[in-house]
Amino acid sequence: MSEPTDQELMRRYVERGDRAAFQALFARYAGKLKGMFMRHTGDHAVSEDMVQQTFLHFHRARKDFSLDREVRPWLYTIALNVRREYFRRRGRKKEVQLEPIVHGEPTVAPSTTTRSDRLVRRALANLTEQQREVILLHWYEGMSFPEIASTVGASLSAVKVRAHRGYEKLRSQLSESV
Amino acid sequence: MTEVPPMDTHASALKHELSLLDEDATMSADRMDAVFAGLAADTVDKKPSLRDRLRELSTPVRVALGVSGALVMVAVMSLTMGVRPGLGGEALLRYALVVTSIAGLVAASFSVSLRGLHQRQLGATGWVIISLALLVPLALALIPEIWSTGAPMAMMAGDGMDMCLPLGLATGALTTAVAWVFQRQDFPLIYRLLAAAGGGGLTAFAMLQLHCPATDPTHLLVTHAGVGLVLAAVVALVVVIRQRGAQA
Repeated sequence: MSEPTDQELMRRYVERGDRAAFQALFARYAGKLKGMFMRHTGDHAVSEDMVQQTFLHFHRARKDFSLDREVRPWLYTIALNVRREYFRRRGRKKEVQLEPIVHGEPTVAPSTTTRSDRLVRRALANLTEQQREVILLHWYEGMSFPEIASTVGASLSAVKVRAHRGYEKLRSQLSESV
Repeated sequence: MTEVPPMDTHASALKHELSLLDEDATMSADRMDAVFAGLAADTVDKKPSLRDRLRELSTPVRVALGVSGALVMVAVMSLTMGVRPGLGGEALLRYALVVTSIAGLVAASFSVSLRGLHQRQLGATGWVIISLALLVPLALALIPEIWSTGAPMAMMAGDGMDMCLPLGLATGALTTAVAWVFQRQDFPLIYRLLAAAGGGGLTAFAMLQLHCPATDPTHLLVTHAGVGLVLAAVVALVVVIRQRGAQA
């Protein structure tokens, strides 16, 4: 038997409060969301807490979900806002950790610590928030541009422009660094 | 002119670099179960309290109920304390127009305060609405022509007018509390609370303008229009104390 789609699970969860459907959606997305949060925080505990917060708001907002919508962009919109609110609570510190390349300790330990990693992190941190968001969703989450547009609440053309400029800027920065 | 390579070229050229950040974020089955158990205890396995039921309503319903709460507050206060004398004819129409505009601004403030995380956040627009909610009463208080009813002042300064600020603060605080009850966040960010305080201040201003016959701009400015700013200052203080407590 084929796996139920996100929409089918969401319908069961919203209409009948089906716990198993909620758990299945959690199992499907928790790891991916944790990966996304890890790229921003570099901290396993904080990332897991953000995953929990995302699904807590997913639950509280379920009556706002329109059943003809895609689940993934809706969930990721919540996740991006959970992340934004987390960083706003911390007093608007840089969202991507800017560890010194030569010396000093990062505020939050990244999961990987090679010089190349840090160059990439630094290059990502130098993008505008909008460009970074689009590139992270496109590259790491494998989202299509229409899905990203729905997730970040921007037009398709605006998302493509952000991605193009972001990739261009990354490429130029990384070619200078190497 | 330099030709710009297409996006796919840029993206594929970065394949190696970007793959360095492929986070190993896998959770073991046990860890996944533990995280879900914590989540389920706050959601699907929990018997919802009244507040849970209110905050889980859809966003348009939460905003509508918040605004209704503010209107009920103005109506109850006006019924129990009476409205200012001479409120009829052209003055009544003028008042209706201003109070309707204030209700619109209360709705906008509560929309900012109660905006769901599934929605794109408003950014600067949200702050503009908060500023308007806090400053519009001050501007309106400085235009006495709006509030003139043609009737002589029923009370002189000090004659019961010292009750305006406490009454306004009580109305504003209750309205702010109504907006807070519908918040989905356990610890809302300051802008959500300031938006709620702005809505509370506007509600208090409308209630006091309907009741108090004073037209003295200083009285209107300090005791009627200042309620929102006082509530905003209290909210900011509470948030700062809470943040310091969390950091300690």
